[in-house]
Amino acid sequence: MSKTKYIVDKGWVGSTVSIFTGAVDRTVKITDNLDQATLKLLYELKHEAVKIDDGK
Amino acid sequence: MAIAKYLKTCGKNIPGNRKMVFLTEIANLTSVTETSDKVSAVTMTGGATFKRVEAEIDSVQFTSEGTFSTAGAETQNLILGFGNRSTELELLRNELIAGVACGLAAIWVDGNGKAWVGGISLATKEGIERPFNQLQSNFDSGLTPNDTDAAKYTITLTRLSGYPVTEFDATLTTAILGGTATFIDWT
Repeated sequence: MSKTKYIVDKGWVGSTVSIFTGAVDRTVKITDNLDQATLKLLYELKHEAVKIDDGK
Repeated sequence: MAIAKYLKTCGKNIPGNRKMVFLTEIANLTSVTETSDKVSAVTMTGGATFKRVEAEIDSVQFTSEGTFSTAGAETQNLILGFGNRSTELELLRNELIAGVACGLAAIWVDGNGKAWVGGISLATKEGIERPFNQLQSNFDSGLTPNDTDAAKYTITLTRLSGYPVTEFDATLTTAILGGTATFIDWT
């Protein structure tokens, strides 16, 4: 069974990004322990700070 | 890539662009997201915003020209016209010259009320790799007081790209037109 997990690209740790969608704008500080929901959002936004780890 | 059908929409077509353009250094942008081929989200480094640059009425022009075969790209120009040379205008020009070394991204609104972004695209296209990275400036003082076409500054931002500029989705377009888009510094 595969377990999709979103992981932080270490190179982005410590940076802060602002996400503008016009509806729910938010600012996120990239840390090692960002919750999966936030990581998933960043991944869906194609942000380079987040990679997918499709663990088996 | 298969060709999808294209059917024209009957309606007015208003050439030109609005006088307000929004610029930022490419380092301030990290990604854009597209939904149905339109920009639906902009992700920037924390606290960074696009800055307003107000040109003269009917002086903002976007042009693109390219040739494609197995390879190809188009040259895209965003041309801004300014009147009355001033210290403030020279400061802007100097800032743009400094910024163009790494590259700039631009947002503008065309005569049809559509907002466009150039200089950044999906990471799977060009991402932040091909921003506007050339700047040309022209100024001619003219000779006589009634030389109406003279004493105007023209700044042209240029990039070479394999992809067209991208339209914003309805939500972000409304925010840009309404002056509420939070990725733009409206002060």
